[in-house]
Amino acid sequence: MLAGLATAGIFAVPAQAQMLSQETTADRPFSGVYIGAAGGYDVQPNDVGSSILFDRNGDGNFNENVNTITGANAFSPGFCNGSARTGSASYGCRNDDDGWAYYGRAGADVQRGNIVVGVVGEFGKTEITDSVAGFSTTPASYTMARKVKWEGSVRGRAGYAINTTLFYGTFGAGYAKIDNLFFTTNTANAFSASGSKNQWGFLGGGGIEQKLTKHISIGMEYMYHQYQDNDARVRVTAGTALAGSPILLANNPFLIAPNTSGTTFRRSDENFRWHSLRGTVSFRF
Amino acid sequence: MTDLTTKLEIFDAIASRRNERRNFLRFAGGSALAIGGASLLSACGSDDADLAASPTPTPTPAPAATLNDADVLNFALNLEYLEAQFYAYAAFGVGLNSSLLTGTGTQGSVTGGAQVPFQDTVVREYAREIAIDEVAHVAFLRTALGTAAVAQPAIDISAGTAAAPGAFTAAARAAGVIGSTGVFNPYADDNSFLLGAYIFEDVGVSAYKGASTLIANKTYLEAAAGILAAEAYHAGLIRTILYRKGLQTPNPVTALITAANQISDARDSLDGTVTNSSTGVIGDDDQGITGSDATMSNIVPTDANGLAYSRSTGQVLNIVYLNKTAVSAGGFFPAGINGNIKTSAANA
Repeated sequence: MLAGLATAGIFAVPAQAQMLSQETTADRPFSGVYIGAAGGYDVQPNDVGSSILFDRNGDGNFNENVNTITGANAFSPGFCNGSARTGSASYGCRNDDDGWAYYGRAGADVQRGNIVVGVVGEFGKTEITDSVAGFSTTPASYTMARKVKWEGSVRGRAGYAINTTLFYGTFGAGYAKIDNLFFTTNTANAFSASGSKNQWGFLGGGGIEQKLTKHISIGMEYMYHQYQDNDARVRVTAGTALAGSPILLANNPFLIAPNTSGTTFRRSDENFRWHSLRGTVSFRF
Repeated sequence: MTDLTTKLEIFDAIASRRNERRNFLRFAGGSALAIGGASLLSACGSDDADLAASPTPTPTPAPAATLNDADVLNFALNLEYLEAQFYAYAAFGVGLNSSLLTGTGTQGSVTGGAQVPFQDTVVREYAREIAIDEVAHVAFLRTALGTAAVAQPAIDISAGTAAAPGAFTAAARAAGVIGSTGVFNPYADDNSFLLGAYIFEDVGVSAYKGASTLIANKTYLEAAAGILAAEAYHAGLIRTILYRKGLQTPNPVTALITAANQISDARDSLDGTVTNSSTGVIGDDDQGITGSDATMSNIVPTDANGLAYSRSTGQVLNIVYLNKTAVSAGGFFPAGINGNIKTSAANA
């Protein structure tokens, strides 16, 4: 009898798990509300060819070169789509920073047969940074960087379930606070960066979700994120070192004719794009 | 209660779940591999690909900052401090106002300097006029440079003693104007003052002409041309009056002509453009005040095209440092000059 109880005790829990794990498509295992977490690593496509554009004449169009007093291109050392290591182009650039991402999410799905449709909301942060740098003949470097302070999204989700495995695609709107940063080794001019703001974008991707128990599922997901980020500006004016020296003012490439009040920078690449590969875990009620 | 059949079903179910997980993980692992591969591929497309300057595998030293117009005008300002102090002391017995000496770098004091007891009214008036111009040059350059202006470095315009010769004595000894134990005091009389001025003036003209290629801003290039012209006027009048005194009757002071020519040769020796021993003229940019014949004037030292000559910044520093090697101090600037142009040329 004792042995029988013990046997019953041993097998009671697996028996329950077995019954749950044997959910079938007919049981609509993906119907219902869930909360979860997603985390992973974000990488960026190479925005090769991106650069910094200049508005020298103050007309709002970024289509001029910054030239020295002799008419030579002050940015002849070139641009790179990363962050400058030093003020010298010969040291090159660091690649854009990929980084970890972590999100909380909540959603609801409805299952009809094999078809699952639902909606998911997500909020979180990614450590990704996207930079572009220019080098002047000074020599000096100028790096414009953007990073995601936080990101929220609401996406639709549609998938095909085979028993406790769901293959799905997802697409929706994103809303993110994008910080725009500026770094330079130029100590003569004064720089003011602007354009950090909340931006709308979109996300799209797909993944696979596997139920482990009636309430717990894990999965893996790919997601593409794209935000328009075309508001970042850097205004270049005379720094204190220049303001007191007529000859330095008269020769500064950012301050000579046609606009002695200064120069404005913007990035040629107006979109902030990245790819996520994330693991997910959800609790289904 | 569980029976054997149930147990077998349980084992089957466990195996089934294990297979499901394996399938899932296999798929997910494949995805991870695919995307990991994609990111590896993306990393292969170098982010630096569009940088014009080709990156090198090993870092090379950062290139030195190129000289800008402020550097060139500051170089000129150092020379103007020297000239202005010499002429101000000679003409008025006082140096520059302290408000004209401040700036970046290390400010130094003036050693030597005294009012010349002029006998010749012409020399005295020339001295006064040049002094005012040189002080004005200092003020103009300081205004143009503003906060970028360098401070006056330490300046030696003294005669010194036989045992501790000042810069003028060292220059005169090197040129052979005086013996190796003599003392040359440019404030002693009219003629000594003229020779002292002669040491500087031709240097100023050649320095401004040589620096013209370094000035990018045409506004300041024109201003530098204005200073060059003023220095050329000064040099011309000093050379003229030396020549005149050398030939005057009665009492021609032929030693003045000899000394002036010796100083020219010494400057040529210092800056590396030495007189050719066989022809006597090739490379003789810095010419004395007489031609091939002692009675033939050579007031304006020009080449075959009638052009005055240039000195590089390094050559100018050879002369004011009284050293033909690459050094950063000496002679009239015992602590060197302030700014980014500091080193003389290596002509030894």
